Amino acid sequence: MVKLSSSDGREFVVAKEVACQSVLIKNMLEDLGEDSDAPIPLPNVSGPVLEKVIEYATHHKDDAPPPPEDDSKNITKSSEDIEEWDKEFINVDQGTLFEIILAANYLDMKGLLDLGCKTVANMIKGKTVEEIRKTFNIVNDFTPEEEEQIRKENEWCEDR
Amino acid sequence: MKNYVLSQLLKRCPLPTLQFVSGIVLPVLKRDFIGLLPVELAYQILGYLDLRTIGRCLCVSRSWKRVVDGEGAELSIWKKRLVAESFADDAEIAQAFARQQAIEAKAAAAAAAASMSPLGPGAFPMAVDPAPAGPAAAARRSHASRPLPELPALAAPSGYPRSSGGSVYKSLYKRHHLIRRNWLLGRYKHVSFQGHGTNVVTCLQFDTERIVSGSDDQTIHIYNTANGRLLQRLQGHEGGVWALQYWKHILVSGSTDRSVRVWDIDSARCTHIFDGHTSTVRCLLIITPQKNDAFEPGLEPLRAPLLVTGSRDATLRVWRLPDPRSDEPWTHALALERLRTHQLNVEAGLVDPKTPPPSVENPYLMHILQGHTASVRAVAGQGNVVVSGSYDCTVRVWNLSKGVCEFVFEGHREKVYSVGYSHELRRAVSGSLDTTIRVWCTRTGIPLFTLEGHTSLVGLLELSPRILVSAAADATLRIWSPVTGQCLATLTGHPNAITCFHHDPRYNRIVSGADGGIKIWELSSFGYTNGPTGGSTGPNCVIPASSPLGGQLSYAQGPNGIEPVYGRFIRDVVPHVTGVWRVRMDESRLVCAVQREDGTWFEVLDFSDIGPEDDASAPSTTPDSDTMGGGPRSRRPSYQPPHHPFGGAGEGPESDSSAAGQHHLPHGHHHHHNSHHHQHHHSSTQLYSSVQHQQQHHQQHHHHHHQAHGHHFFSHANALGGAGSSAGAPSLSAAAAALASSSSSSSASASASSLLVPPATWMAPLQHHASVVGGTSASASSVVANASQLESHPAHHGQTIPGAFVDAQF
Repeated sequence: MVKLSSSDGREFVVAKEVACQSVLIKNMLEDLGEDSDAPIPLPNVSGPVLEKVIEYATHHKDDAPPPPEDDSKNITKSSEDIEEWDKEFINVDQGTLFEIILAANYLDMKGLLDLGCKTVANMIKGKTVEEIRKTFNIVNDFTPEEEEQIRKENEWCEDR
Repeated sequence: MKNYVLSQLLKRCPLPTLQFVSGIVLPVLKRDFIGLLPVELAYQILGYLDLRTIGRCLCVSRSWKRVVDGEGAELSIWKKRLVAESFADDAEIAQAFARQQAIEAKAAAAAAAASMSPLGPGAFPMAVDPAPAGPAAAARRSHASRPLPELPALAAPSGYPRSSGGSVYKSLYKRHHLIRRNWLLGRYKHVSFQGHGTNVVTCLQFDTERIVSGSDDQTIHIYNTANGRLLQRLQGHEGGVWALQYWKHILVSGSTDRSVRVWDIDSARCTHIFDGHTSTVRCLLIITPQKNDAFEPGLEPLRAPLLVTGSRDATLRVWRLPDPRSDEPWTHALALERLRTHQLNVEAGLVDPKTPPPSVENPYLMHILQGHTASVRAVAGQGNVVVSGSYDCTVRVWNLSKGVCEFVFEGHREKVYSVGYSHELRRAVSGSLDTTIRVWCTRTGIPLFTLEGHTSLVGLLELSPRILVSAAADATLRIWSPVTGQCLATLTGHPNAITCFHHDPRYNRIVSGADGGIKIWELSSFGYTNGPTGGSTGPNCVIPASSPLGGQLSYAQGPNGIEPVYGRFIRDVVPHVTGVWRVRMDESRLVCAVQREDGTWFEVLDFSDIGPEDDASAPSTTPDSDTMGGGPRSRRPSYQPPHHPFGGAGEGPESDSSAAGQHHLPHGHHHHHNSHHHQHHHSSTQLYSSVQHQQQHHQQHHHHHHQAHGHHFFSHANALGGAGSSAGAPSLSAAAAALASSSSSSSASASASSLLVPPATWMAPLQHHASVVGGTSASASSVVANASQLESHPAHHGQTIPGAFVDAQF
């Protein structure tokens, strides 16, 4: 078992194979040695988020390790292929999703990071500019002239 | 405590108050992911998005635009897309960076001139990727030395983050994307012009600057690709040109006059004439050294470019490829001249008699590849491997460095009309009149597959490592896996035998021609990306929704999961033509030679960047020759023949002295007298059921011939270009395939196609009718005459008429 300590001081005891879903923790454990008993401090992850992360890692502890990433092929991956459990898991408010993505990035958990990014992508996909702003509560800080010019410059993306 | 108070408070609130609270709370819970996440995570999110959504993200806010259009996006978004969608071309990228740096240097110089103060190296945003330094640096120096004070300062007039000025990858991506989109949506500029009178265009090759066409009118024309202007007319051959290829500025042609000529493509000078073949040169291939020539043991690198020619005399000849600019001209006549001069000099005491006389042997000839027992119809190859297909029903594999035959592939039951070769796979493919395609291993000599499905002559083949495309007289094309032998798709829709086609996996397209017009097909629904196939299957991923493929399912559920769909039809172009001689394409253009009622036309469809706004001209309406806009209509200008050192007046009656003179035929050749046949009518009920019906074909053949002369039933073009197609004569349409195909392909596969075995019985009538054509009246006569002219050379050698050709003609 491995002890993890969140930014707000909460301690979580998890199975080693669960903790090692995080490449960061895995490397730390290797550095610390097997017999170390001290909790691993995760100052960038709050308790509630760490709880979610552990939930994910527990569910996926038996997954095959991700295949080595070919960077150039990243783009052709689909954001649609999310399994049912993951979909339910990631159905959280944007603040939590934001924190989960940051945590997954920090903890180096590729599967969870991909899941978070795909989820955000799916929130953007197919929306108009105004719908995107509304979805994420973004203020349009362009002047109307600027916006019109940018829209024109990038009209070719519209595939018409 | 806070939580407790809040929950008790909310419990007691009425709905409007809760809605008010929600209006405050929900936006607070929202996050600006793209603007606030570390930028590399934003890139990852954007990597999942389709282009349309990316474009919209740019307009959301300044911080979003900084991410999507910022300098980091160049590599993390746009370069990735460029690579993933197979658009990346190293040379083009380097060029773009050089251009970009030159522009920036100009601006720097301007700014320096304006401020009169030296600028630090960090003053200007440099390209993100290190570009090749040489030319760019040189360009920068040259520009820097010449201040251009009229240029505006570097800063963009608008205040928001720098627009696409420095985004090399984004600009490149945009360009390629728009070209592909235009193909899918059918947006193109159309230039149309006439050429080669009413003659057959046997070979066609082009690049961004020129279109090169070979014709049975004995000439080669070079046109400006952009506007169709005739740049050069290459004269010298004394028979129809049936094989042609150029590489850089070196153009090689082969003719029924049995010679191979090498030309400088810019000056139109013929510098080398290779004699030796004793009959028509029917196919040729320039082989240039490639990086992977010797990628495994048993293969040898090619040291210098070679030329391989295949002939009706059943041999192939291997030549060192001359460079017209650096190699001294060589012809047999010149060699004899040198010898005579030497002898005269010896006699006159000007030269030491002990000096060895100059050789009259052709120094370029390396090997004569002997073994075939009938006409060599098609050739393909790479490195030191050459594959040939012959009318003797065999395919042979030759070792170029040794000049020996390594394998004889036997199995076809009929003539072989087309071959392809993949060096990577070390496999050869062959298409035959027996309707099969065979796949052979050139490493072991083992036959691998017999591909069955076509129901008629397989006259055209193109092989790229993952894809084999075949076209047949049965009016279909097929896509196969050369690895498994599986038929991936059958492309139906052409009403007649396929006469020509071209495919390129880089552009994921096939273009095919048959009587009636040209069709554009998608090679594979996954072919737009390099990546794993599973992800890019969404219909909006690459395919514009408004394109013909937009609403279609772009994948199929196979036994092993999701599989691509092959060979989807995109659109018809250049419709209502009586025949298509030859069609080729590159990324942005489709170029074809077609036959209309009034003669031979070239059509150039340019799919490069046309936005919806200036789209008035496309999709093109019926290219009626009367209303055709754009290019020059006719190319029969007053014409000064370019200087030909070996094609001049000294060559007697054999030379074609008439610039427009397809009708003026040299004496000594036998020609049909077209007037004999005017009384004959073609019956539309006469159909070919199969190309195997040779006797029937024989008769039909004459009917077509006659009909062509008299313009009684079909236009002459029809008779030639697929022969009474409207009457449903697939075999003759296939003949057009024979005509139109040649080995001009610049790829490693040279394809060929044609039709029937001419039965010996109908050789006689042709020769019987042969006589010199005196007039210049009927347009068909020249073609017929040329056909018989083609026949005449072999006839001198007591050989048979080149079957494919004669079939095709009649």
